[in-house]
Amino acid sequence: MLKKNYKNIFFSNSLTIPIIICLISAITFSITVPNFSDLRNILNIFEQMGVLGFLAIGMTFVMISGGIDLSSYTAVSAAAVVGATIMVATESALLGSSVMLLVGLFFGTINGIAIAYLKMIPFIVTLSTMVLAQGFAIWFTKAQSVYGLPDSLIDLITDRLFGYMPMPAILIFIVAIISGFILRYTKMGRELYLTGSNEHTAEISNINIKSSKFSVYLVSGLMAGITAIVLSGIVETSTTSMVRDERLMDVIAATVIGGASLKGGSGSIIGTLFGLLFLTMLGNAFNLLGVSPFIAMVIKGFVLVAVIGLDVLRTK
Amino acid sequence: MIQKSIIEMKLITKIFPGVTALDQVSLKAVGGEIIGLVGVNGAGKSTLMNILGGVYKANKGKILINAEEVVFNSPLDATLCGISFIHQELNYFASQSVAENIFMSDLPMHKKFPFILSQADLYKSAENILSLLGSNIDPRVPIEELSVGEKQVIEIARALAKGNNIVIFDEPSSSLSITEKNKLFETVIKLKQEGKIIIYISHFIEEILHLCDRYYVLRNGKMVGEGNVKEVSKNQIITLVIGKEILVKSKNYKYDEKQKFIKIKNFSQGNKLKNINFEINRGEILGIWGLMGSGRTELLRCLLGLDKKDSGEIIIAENKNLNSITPIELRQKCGFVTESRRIDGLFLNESVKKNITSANLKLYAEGIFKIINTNSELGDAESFINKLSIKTPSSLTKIENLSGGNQQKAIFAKWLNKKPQILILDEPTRGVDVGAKQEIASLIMNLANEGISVLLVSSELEEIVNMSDRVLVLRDGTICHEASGSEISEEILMATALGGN
Repeated sequence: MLKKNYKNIFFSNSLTIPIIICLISAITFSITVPNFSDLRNILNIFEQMGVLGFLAIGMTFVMISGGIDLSSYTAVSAAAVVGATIMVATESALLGSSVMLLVGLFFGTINGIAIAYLKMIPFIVTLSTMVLAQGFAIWFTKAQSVYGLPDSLIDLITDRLFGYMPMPAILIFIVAIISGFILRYTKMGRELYLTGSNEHTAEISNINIKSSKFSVYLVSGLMAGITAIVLSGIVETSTTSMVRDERLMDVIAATVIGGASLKGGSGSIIGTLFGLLFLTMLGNAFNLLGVSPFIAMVIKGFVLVAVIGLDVLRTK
Repeated sequence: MIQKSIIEMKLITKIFPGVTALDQVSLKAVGGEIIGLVGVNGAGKSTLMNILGGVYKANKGKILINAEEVVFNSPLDATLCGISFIHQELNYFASQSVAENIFMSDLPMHKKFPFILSQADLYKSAENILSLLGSNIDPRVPIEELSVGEKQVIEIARALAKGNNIVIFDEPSSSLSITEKNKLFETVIKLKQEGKIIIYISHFIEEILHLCDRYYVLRNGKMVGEGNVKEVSKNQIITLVIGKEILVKSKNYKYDEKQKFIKIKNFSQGNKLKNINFEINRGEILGIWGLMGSGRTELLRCLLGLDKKDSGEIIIAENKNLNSITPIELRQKCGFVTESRRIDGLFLNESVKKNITSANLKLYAEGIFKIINTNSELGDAESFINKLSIKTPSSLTKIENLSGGNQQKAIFAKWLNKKPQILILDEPTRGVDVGAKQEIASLIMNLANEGISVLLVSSELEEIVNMSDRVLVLRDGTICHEASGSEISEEILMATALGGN
């Protein structure tokens, strides 16, 4: 029995694909791409991963519930500029960071209310808040970047634990463990999967589908806030485009490669992280090979289409 | 004189990896007769018909049409030999006209200008075929405007249009209303008079008895019985189908005023429900019977707060007090088996275990983090799997992979895990095979004997008659009759539902 469970956790359908993809690309890139397997580059990959990791974790929650959040990456910019402005004015990294989290949560709340309680369609709602957050950030800063963030923030984020581990990677590790635990072991997590699996059955089975759906957008908003803090620390400024547009597709693709279905009811944190690892390695390898960024985008585009095809095959 | 065609399947054996799906099965059908094919799910009916339809190839055995051996390598081969399937789920082009749907593969062309379609011919031939089937459907209307039964007529007309001689009906009546069923039977009899070979597959043994000339019974891949329908009784066929004697439980419910449990007062909703009042006692099975559109479904949805009611009160006896509760509170207290399990009964891509425990997760949530105790969850799920003999490879199997009857039993397990005092059942045996039907029926009666109040809504009159202690007949949103004891008979219920006395 125990053996069977063990097998189930590590080799269930949803995890096999991302792990295999990661292994194959890690081996291929190590052999074919110069400098790919250097420690410095590997740490670099983890650092890059860390940045999108929070958004991908948020997206995993949302997609398990059967929704999608297109707004979290622009909510990062909105949260960052407001928080950074306060940081610069008060010189308090703590206060500014808290504000970033609150702004992220604010956008999550709007999405959550509209989708869970007003029964609006996630795609349309979050597309609107995506534009809203972007517009707000530009209006708030008059399209200027915010400089002069407190050293305490920058030092904390760019610190390397034991001289090696980048802080964002450690943070992502902690957040991933907490999120994974919630999804896998708690009543809230179970209710989320059930809601995403079949909303009608869930409602009749007395699961509070409204609060389930509301909570995932809060999580996604919170993750946007955390991303704002980490990114501001890394680049030492807060801008109106902290996360580039095409990164949104990376976040969605990572989640889908990791086993989440666009129809809801499946997905896992560990799968998402593997999905993200694969996409980051791919980008990193292109970078090292000096592939033109536009060609890289074309190839990534193909990968994404293949990924959506994967989702169709899997849910058939 | 129409020449009689004959189709024979001789000693067909089909082996799938690990299972012998069919073991030397033979079947013979002659033009102008209706063959009934009966068996539980998994008995081999579909495999046999898939071989006839060219989907599978048999490992052994042969198919003869008019004494000539035929080999089907693909479904197309079977179609070319004149075999048509009428399925439960219908395939059609929704926005196209009836006539175009009938002739979709062979649209008539204009005589002088063969590159354009001849609308006149199209509608005329469609009318001819439809009148052959005794139907007066207008061939010009888009097919999406037709009822399910009418669409089925179109499907049959399509088979006729191709000139097919062998028509196989696969569970054709399960989604039809009573009038539509009668229409279907008329159509099938017309086909018989045309000299077609008809194979009629059904769970409903009454239909077989009513409609067919000869019957075949499959069980576990073997043909266990065949003969003339006139020479067999319903119970004999059921015994053949499930392989053991059926047990009809005697109802031992005694009406007792003190056992009143729940009272529904003045439920109204628009013009669908008008002032509904009734009570259910502990351990009683209250049947609600009515024709389609009588308000059956609306009543349940209002009671449980899934639709808004205009007025109405629910009173429940708890700890010797009478409490008024809201529909949502009722939903929290009861178990609710819905009529369409794939839509709102199951979590299809979750395991049997997670389905069974889903309605009572708080039982397993421990500590401030509400961590689910998966061991006690697994224990409960497995004890239900044993108790209700749910056939599944393991409790971790996806529920999607279970048969309809076992899925339905898992839904019962889900609600029983909540230890409800009231069970609301909407079509509890819809789409399950005869064997599972019996098991579910005796399960429901055992639960009532244990003191659970059961509200049973069904469109199957026989189910209502066999199980209910009392029956309310609904018509036009009002209770038009209450029957109990010897008054519960198919004749009386049908008559009152139709408006008689």
